[in-house]
Amino acid sequence: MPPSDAECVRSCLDGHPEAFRHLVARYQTPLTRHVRFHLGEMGEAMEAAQETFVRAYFALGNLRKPESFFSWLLGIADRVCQETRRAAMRHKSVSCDQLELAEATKPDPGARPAVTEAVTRLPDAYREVVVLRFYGGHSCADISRDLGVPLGTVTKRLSRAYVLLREQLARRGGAGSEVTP
Amino acid sequence: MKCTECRDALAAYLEGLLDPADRARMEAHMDECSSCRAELEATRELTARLEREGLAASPVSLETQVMDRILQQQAVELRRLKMRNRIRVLGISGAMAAAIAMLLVGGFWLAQPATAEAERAAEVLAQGAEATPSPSTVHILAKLRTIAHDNFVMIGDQYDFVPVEIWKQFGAKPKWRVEKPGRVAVMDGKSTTMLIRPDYVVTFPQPSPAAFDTGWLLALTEVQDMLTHELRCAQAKRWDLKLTHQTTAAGEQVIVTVEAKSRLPADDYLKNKSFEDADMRRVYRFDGKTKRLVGFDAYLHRKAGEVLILTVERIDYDQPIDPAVFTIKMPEKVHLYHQPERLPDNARYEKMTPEEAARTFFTACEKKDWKEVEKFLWPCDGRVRQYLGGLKLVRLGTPFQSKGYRGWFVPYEIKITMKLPFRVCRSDAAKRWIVLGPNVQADAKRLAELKPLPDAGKYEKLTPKEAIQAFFAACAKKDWTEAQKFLADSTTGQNLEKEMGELATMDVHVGEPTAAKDAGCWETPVEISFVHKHNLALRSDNAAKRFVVDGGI
Repeated sequence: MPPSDAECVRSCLDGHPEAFRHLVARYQTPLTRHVRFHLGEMGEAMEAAQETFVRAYFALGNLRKPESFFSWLLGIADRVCQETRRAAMRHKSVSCDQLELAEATKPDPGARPAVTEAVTRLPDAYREVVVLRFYGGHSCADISRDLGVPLGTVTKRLSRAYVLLREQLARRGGAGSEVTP
Repeated sequence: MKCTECRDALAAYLEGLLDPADRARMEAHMDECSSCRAELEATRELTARLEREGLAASPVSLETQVMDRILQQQAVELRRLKMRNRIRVLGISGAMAAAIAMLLVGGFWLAQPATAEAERAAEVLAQGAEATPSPSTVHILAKLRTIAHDNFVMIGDQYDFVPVEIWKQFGAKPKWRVEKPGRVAVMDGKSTTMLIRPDYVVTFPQPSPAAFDTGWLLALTEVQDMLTHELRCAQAKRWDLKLTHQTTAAGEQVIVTVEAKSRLPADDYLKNKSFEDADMRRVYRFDGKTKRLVGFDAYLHRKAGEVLILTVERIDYDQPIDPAVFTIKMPEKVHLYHQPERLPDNARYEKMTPEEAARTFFTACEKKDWKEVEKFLWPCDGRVRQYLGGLKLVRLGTPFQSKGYRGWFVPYEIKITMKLPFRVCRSDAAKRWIVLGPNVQADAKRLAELKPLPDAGKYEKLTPKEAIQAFFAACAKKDWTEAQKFLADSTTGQNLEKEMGELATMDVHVGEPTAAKDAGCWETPVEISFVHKHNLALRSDNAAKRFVVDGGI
């Protein structure tokens, strides 16, 4: 049985950095997907995800609720993404070549399927469960453990996230356009 | 069912997580409500899209890069710490050194306006870490207050000291062994095994860095990491550090004391029950010349004062270790532990609450239904059966949890009845009956050596049954001088109090003696019953997802 998030966090704080490996393994895919929603480009997203994990490791002492490791991680990821985007903006003013490069790495909502775009816009609590469930491949029971919330809360959040997603997709006007492949 | 309730339950419904009753209610509602039915269909389509999206996203593997970066950055931090020491060695004045250090370690010290003593103590710890960079082997002899026949985690001032020995061989393929009287755990580079003496074996097919709760003991062998880590914790969590010097036969010693605090809240059940979750004073002794760690003690803080809980008596560095240390000499026949398996009627057990699981377990013990007991408890051998067989469940309390444990604790009270075959043997020399514990053979020579008591007449005429009754009556009154008269070995009242003291609260019923094989000896069944109160530890994070007993018996 893999150790819980809180156990891993405690292990790390007690001087066993190897315990962090479990957390990386558990969240690398959903975190990278989450970051990609912000940044758009996969290479950049992986770089930002790495940076997020490393920062998280050295800030573990500030984590108040170790059982909510993933929500906290997402908070760090959001800051990393902001910085990455700001850096990209600075890049932009340097030269034309780099401008093109920056343009290429800018999030391009059009390139993403509408549903993924809609996930990006979900409120945090809902986005977390959807990202873990569909992009991280975690079961509802896993998510309940990952986020330290009851299973009933996870399914309720999922249900409400579905409603919000469908509303957003409907607003885009193409509610049915991507339903059938 | 209302529509809002139905919509909130859609995800649980689609995931198959509703129990049959709720599922039926929901389906009944949807049969009647076309709008909820449409909602379900639309949600089904949405989740199918999300599934496709998720699958299209290839899995990511960042573990190696992330861990490499973390370890690299940590090394940098440690170098900064060492650099700080060098500044001191260079003779820069205290204030300036502190200022430079603050810049170097980026606020490392800002967390705590350290006293001069705490600062010096921190330096001794850092020097100690530096003085033991990477030994090839470490061998530790220690004494620990713990339960000899339990895993390696519990500590407590109510337990006696047991010897603990730890071996660690470092290198590309590390190996380790941790041993105490009841258990020995070994990792031989390929697999990890524990022998629960005499003949129970738990084995993992992989080389585990620590298993069976040996992690904190093995951490003692990684001196550099341990000291660096202690220093970091002390600074981050503002633990008090003290520094003293002592001259011993072996030379000058520098002693650092750390007031470590448990991570668990004050009222947590597991607080102060393990090394890592206890409020304790840790004392590190360093050799004045080599700066190496030569000893380590830990004191548990109790209301009545502090109690020594662990003392490392000896640490050997770089001594070759006999390869045989990393093997376990197994008894001929062993019982091999396996993970709780899914039972044919697993669903019944999966659904149990902690209280139901505890009740089922104790009820099975009451009925001596060992097949059922084994679903909860391993090993369930003769000793366990003798202890638990025929118990009566008095009551169960409200289950509770600890922040330091993934399972549940269920408070319980059971009445245990044990039938033990005591023996009484006649000592003609001493003109009285001598009581021998269960399964103890009479030592004729010893019996012949015993001297008569001044009031021998009082004891001479007792029957074997009366003698054993008189012995237990004395124990019940805690009259150890009187109890002593029925024993062959002279032992102190204090020892008797320790061994037999609990008898005062027990019901004792002496049966009819029958003549034993040895001349002059009688076999006497004695029924002892007592109420035992404790907390049963249950956990269900196993493949079968049902509660099994993890401790507290």
